[in-house]
Formats: sequence, C-alpha cells, structure tokens
Amino acid sequence: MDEEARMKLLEKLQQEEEEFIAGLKPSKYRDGWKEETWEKEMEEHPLFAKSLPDSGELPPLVEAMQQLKYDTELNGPEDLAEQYKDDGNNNFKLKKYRWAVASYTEGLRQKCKSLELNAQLYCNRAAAQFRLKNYGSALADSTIASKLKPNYVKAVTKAALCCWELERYQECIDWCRQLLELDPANAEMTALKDKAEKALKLAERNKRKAELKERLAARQEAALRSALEERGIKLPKPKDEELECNPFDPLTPTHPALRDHRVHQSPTGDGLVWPAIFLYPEVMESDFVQSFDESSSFGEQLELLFGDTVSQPEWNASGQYTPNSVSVWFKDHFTGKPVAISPKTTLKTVVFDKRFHIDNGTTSFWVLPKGTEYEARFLAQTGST
Amino acid sequence: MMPAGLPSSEDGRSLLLKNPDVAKAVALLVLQDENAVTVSQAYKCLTNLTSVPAISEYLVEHDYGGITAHLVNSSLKSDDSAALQCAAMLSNLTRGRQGAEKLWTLLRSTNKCDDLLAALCSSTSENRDHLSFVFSNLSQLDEVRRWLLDQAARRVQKFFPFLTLETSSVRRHGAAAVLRNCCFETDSNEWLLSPDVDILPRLLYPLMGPEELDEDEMEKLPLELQYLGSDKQREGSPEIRQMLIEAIMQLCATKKCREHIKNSGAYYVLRELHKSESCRPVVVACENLVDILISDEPEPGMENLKDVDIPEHLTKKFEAYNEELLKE
Repeated sequence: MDEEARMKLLEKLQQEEEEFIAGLKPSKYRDGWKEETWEKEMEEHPLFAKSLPDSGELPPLVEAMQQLKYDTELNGPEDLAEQYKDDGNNNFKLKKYRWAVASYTEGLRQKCKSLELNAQLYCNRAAAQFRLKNYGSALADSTIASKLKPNYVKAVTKAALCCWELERYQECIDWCRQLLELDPANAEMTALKDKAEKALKLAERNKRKAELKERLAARQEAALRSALEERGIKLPKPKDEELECNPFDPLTPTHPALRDHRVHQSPTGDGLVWPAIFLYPEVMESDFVQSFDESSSFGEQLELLFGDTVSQPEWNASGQYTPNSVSVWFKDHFTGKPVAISPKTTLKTVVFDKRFHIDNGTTSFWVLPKGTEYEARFLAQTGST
Repeated sequence: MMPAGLPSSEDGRSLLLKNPDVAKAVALLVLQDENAVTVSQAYKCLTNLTSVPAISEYLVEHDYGGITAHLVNSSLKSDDSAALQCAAMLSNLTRGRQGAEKLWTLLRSTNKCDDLLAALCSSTSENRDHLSFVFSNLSQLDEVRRWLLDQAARRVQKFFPFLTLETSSVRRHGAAAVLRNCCFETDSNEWLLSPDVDILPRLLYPLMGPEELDEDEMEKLPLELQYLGSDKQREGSPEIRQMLIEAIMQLCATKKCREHIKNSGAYYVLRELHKSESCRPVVVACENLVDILISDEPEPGMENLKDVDIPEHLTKKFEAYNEELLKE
C-alpha cells in the first residue's frame, strides 16, 4: 500500500467516522459526576474550572483553550488533533478510559492530513477500548492504525491481543506472524502465537467432536423414530426449532421412578428398551422396571422379579408369587379385556401386537396368581361393561 | 530431427545407449534451439532418455553445456509445461547418489536451494509436482537432510501440508519420502517430535481411516487426529503408507521418543490400519512397529535401538524371517 493509497484510505475513514457519529443514538448516561461531589469535580474539570491550578504547568487542555482563545485563526486541524491526543493520553493515565475514547474520537474528527497522527489516534483509542473490554472496537481501530502506518508494532500487537480475547485464534496467529516478521525476537508475541495455536487446535477438535455427536444423535433419533413408527407409534414432526420441545417428550414416563428412563434403542442388537410397570391388583402393589429389553422374554422378567426368594418385598414375604405361580396379561386396547402372555413370549411380540397400547411411553402389565379364584374373578370382571 | 517417440520404446533406448552422441545432441538442442516446438520435442525426448538409468548417469557425468543448470533455471522461471518436463528430468537425473550430489553442489554454489524449495511449496500447479521427487532424491544425502533439519530455517515443516491437505499423489509420495529420510537423523528426532515441529500427527494423519475409536482411546490421540469422522479416507497408496510407518519406526530409536509415541495413541491408529490393510509389505512394517510400541522397555543401556550391537547371525535370521513373512 503506497502513500497515495493510504491517503485515500484516510479520507474514506474520516468520512465513515463522520457518518458513524452522526448516526449514534443517545445512550444511557454513564460515568457521570456523582451528585454529592459534582461541584468539586466541576471545579477540577478544565472546561469549567474557575481558577488555574497553583502548579506552574498548565494541563494541555487548558493550554489548548488559551491558544484557541487567543490564536484561533492560527490553530489548524493538525494542532487540534494533537491537543486532543494529549488530552486522551492524560485521561488514559488517569484510567478514565471512556473520556480517553471521546478525546481520541474528537482528534480523529479534526480530519487532519497526517497519516502518522491519525494512526496514533486510532491506536491509542484501541488501547482505551481494550481497557474497557470493547475488544471488537479495539480490533477495528488497531487494524486501521496498522494500515495507516506500515510496520506499526503497537497496533499489530494490540490487534493480536484483541483477537485472542475474542477467541478468533486463526486471526490472532496471523497477526503474530506479521509482527514476528518485523521483530523475530519478540518473546511475548511468540508465546501468544503458541498459545493461540494450541487454543485453535483444541477449538477445532471440540468443533469436530460436537459435530460428530450431533450427527450421531440425529442418526439415533432417526433410527428410534423409525423403530417406533414400525411399532405403530406416531410422533409429532419436528416443526419449530425455536421451541425447545423434544419430539420424544410424549414418550416420557410420568411416574417418578421411570421418568429418566425413556424408551431407547438397545445397545446390543436391534430393538428397543422400554420402561415397564408390573401391576399386582390382588395385593394392590406394583413393580417398576426401568429397562425391559424387547428381546428378552416375560419368563426371564418374572425370574428377575420373583426368582430370588430371599429378598422379596414385604407383601410377598410368604412367597406366594413365584415365576411359575403367576400369569401375565396385557390390556386389549379395543375391548379392555386382558390378553394372556406366555412366559416364552418376548416383549417385542407384545409391542407389535395391535391390541397392545402404550401410554406415556410406558408398557404396563397385570400379574395375577395363576389358577386362583381371584384370577378367575379378575378376568371375568375386567373389561366387561 | 529425430522423432520424440523413438526413445519411448525399449529398442529405441537400447539403440541410443550404443550411440551416446545422440543424447548429447538432444541435450544441446534443448540449450541452443530457439524454436519453441523443437525445444518442447527435445524436452520430451530428453525426459524419456533420462528415465534410463545408464543414460541418466552418462548425462550427469558429462553435463553437456550445463544442462543441469538449465533445468534448474527453467524449473524456477515459471510453472508452465516446460517446467514440468524440467522437473521430471531433474527427478530422473537425481535418482542416483552421484546425480543428487551434482545437483546439490550446483544449487549450493548458485544459492538456489531455498528457491527450489519455494518453487515446490509456494505453487500448487501440477507442473511443479515432480520437484517433490527431486527433494526426496536429494534427501538421500546427509548434507541435504541436515539442511532440511535446520531448526531456525523451518524447512522440514514445509512438507507437512502435502500429507494433510488434498494434493497429488506425486507430491504426497515425495513428501513422505523426504520426511522418512529425515527421521533417520536420530539426533533430530526429539526436535521433530517436540511441539516446535510436532511431526507425529502429520505422519499418522494419512494412516487414519473412517473407523471410529472408543472415546477413551480417541482422547489419547493428538488433538489434530481426534473426531475426524467416518468420511476420513486413508491414504490410498501402499508405498506412501509404508514410508509413513517406516518414518515412525525410525522415530522409535530412543527411549524418550518411544515413550512420546506410545503415549500419543499411535497404537490405536496402527491397530485399525492393520485390520483393513491388504498390502503385505505394509502389514509387515505395521506389525514391526506395533511390536516396538507394545514391547516392554529394553534393559538399561540398551534403550537406543540403533546403538545396540546385534550379532550377525541374528541379523541374518531376522532378515530371513521378514522374507518369509513377505511371502505369505
């Protein structure tokens, strides 16, 4: 970029700066003087001071105002820009970064022709913005500064640091490389570049991992949806992405014991794993089975429930209910009548049975004492209306 | 003017071998004739001539009218089709040690070593591809390997993109050979594996395929190799796969480097490679490397595998054993 191109860039930037300020909306009043101390601060501020400080040296702004008052015709844009830069620097030293930004901005508004001075104003404003954690604005200003003034080490350094804070690691690396070409022995930038390279590597790896997880989840959801439709279970189509509603929500069990055990695909082989409720109406009890794999049989499940005679619940302390002494039934969705399930039958067979209906994503079954009067009465009465 | 097709045939080459003055005439034609068509024909003729080792050695020895310098300058000047022919000829001429030494001496004396490397690395034109072979040929020389491994110059890193980005098989082949040859420099191995160069992920990347590792295994790999997904394709050339394995093998010479490689999950990559590998020499190289990675550490004093004296009869037995494996 030669001198003429930089001058054109400067004019373009000054025009854009003017348009930007004209378009600024009034913002909330901040960093204002406190009510209890406004008089003291008013007295101290150069614009409103009634008397000059006792020390011999005048603050630059006071000196500038005096020059303005007496030499208005002689002060060109460059002189004024220089004064605003000094004001900005003083505010910066006092850690009044918002005032510093305002001063540097006024300096830029003078539209002086000095590339060097404008570059410094942009760079210094970047430094003030950086202290305010406005890393985006700081990056924009330091980028401009580095274009107005070739090999501007401070601007390039600031741009790299901004990119680091913004987690734009590739750009950070590029700025570091640019600076290390000018100053290969710069240890600070070498360390920053290494840090950014490590961070970029980790960020890219995390992105790949997240994408793979997302893809896997989508694949699993599609497979689950397909399996459910195969079993005659319809699901709402995922219309609204904004509404945080999972299409599988209707399949979430309502009972607390099963709530976290929604139907899912079986890790081994194909088929699904269901939450299940086993109801014992004779004794007004029930068992909750969190994972009932479709490929296992009801005989196997009864063995799990009643096979261990030592650790039976209180209601079955006498061992009346055993795997061989009970019968299992599901409710015919159309007639309400119990349908017998033989021990060899797998859950899959029942789930595919059109008479079997699943509410709240939970399979449920009656377990009755086999060959008893209660069983006969229950079967006769259930579903007859 | 002799037809360019003649040297393509075996009989034609045999005839030329008995009449070396013909090769000389064609070489001088390349240098002196101003007719572009004639020069182009002469280039093709000479490319075919130099693919015969005996003729190539003859031209290296005599170097009529500075033909080697001409080829270098043409390769550097542009990346048009003439550069392709020149690079191919340089590749042919440097296949042997004498040719490589002659070219390296020329490049050194004219300060064009880095220029030629830049010509390869800063251009994606396929007309520059054969410079990759030129460098793999040159890297058979100790002097060139030391030049490539100059830490401040960062030259060896320039070959990494050819392994990790989409490039021609010629460039990938040349880069793999250069890196494998550099790994023979045991004194540089720690630096090559250090974060400053970080060569191991670059060597492993082409060996990874679409298989998905368990999460605990995945997390042990270098970050660049994690979660590449099922669309990752393994390097298709068995020769390149074998060279990459041999490069890692060379890096296993010292205890510190071995431990670094073991702790980087290289075994998992090789395990998956081994499952699908159909080329017998690659299988053998893979198994040899895995043997090192899963073996217990040698006794104290024997950690540097290249310094261990192996009795000659055992060496011969091992070589015979490998021969048997290759026959299976």
